[in-house]
Amino acid sequence: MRNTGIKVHLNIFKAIIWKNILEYKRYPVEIVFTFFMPVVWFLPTYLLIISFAPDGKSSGLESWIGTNNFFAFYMTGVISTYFIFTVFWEMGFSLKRLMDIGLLETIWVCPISKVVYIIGESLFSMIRLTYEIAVMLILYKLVFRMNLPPGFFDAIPFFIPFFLLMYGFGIAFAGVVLLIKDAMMMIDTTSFLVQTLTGSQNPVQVFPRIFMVLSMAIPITYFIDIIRVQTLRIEPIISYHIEILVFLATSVTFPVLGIKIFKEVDKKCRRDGTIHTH
Amino acid sequence: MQARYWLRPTFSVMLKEIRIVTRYRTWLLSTFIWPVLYPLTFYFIGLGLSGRTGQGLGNFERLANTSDFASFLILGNLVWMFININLWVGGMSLQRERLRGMFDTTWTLPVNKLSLVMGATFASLLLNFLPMVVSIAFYAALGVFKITGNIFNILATIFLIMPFLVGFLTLFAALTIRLRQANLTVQVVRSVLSIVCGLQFPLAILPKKISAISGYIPLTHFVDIIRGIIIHKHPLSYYTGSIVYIIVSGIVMMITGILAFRYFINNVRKRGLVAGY
Repeated sequence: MRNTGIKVHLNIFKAIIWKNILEYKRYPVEIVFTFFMPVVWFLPTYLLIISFAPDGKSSGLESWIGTNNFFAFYMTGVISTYFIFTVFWEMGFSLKRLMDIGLLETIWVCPISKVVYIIGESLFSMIRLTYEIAVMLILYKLVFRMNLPPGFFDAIPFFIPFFLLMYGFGIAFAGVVLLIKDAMMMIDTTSFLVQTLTGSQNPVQVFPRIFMVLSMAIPITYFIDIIRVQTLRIEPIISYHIEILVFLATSVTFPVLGIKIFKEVDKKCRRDGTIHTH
Repeated sequence: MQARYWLRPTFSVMLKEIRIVTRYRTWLLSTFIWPVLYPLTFYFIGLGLSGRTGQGLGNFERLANTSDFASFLILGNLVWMFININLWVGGMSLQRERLRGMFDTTWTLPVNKLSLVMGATFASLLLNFLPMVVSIAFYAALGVFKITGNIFNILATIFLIMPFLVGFLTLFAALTIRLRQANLTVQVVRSVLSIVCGLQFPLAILPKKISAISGYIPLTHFVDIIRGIIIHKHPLSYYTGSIVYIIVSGIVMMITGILAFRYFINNVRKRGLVAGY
């Protein structure tokens, strides 16, 4: 019999978070790296940016979107990138990790909802993401003199629908991971594609037509643009009101769709008997 | 020791690695997709910064000595990509064996341990070279990148860097025997190489003390030659000093890799760390 009820769910979340904390503590070097890897990863891109725009002010960027503040433009994209990578790597990859360490079947036969399990897996990631973003913001400010654009915190309410949207993405993606057994490359490629196509690091106006079409088909593009319009007063890609409408509509439909996809895939894997294959 | 005890297992491991890789079609697909995708990010950042009519290009042109930022970034990123994939596939081959639970089994085989790494390294270099060619063809087809240099000079330069790469990957694999959880080491190594060798930006932006170190790394010379042949159409003779340096450092790196591998084998045996993970 499946366990339901808020108390049971809370206990499940607690157990999953504790499991993840134990695993996280197991490799202390990884914790240390959390503090300086954001700097190391970003350094080549930073050096490229300042080779074009030494003080972060780019006349090139201004010609595309109407602001020359490349540093602030980039920072809004970096935060979205952190979310994208967390959702893909932590929610999607959590099942792949279970496959690798031979625990997927064990977890699958537990009398708990699989969707609850996936959400539980993501909770620790979200806690981790919050402090990693905080560390990243401090480090970028200290090392690169890069700040968030003024008025960024006024745009925080937009992150609530963004969370819902990303959870929808993540849950659907976890389902795909169940289907495609060797998911590492797929996760790597997809997260990178989404990061690139949503214009997190460059104005989407630079894209050739085909990339532009793909970019506009991803709702995260609208979220990033909304945040930039709010904070940097740039020209929106399309009408601002339409951007808001598309973004809010997808943030409602994606979680529902994500759960549906995951359940369907889970059912198919059970029917075909492919949960254990790897 | 007879050569066949070294060559046959090397060849077998190479075949095994190729079979495993081709077993997963998504992996094979992404091997070709990645070298096409990865340089795009840097190209688009460059495009965003250079502006609609190149109004933001001045500083880059001064530092890189070319206004062709697309070719400059695509070439550098492909070199980085090649190193990166080979670190994951070739350099991490022993760690992957640990994850699969096969490390102890292969470790007890009556063959030279080095052949286990060499086989995986050769397989990795072989599997990942073709996607780089596909990527260059893709960008050339898009019109972003023009192949104007002498193709034989390019191939000769790639051939010359191989001893260094094989030695470097062997050294890295040796480290993974001792470190076990080496994912972060790959992240650090690839980032450091990218920065110090100026693979993704003009080297002239670095402080002089760091760019002085860059000159000691063969990869810096390699990417400089490749960019010079393709962007500036320089002949190979223009880079005689760099070519001699790449050959000598390649031999030194091969010897270092083999010695390090032997050292770490003895080290984990003495400490009883072969089986643990």
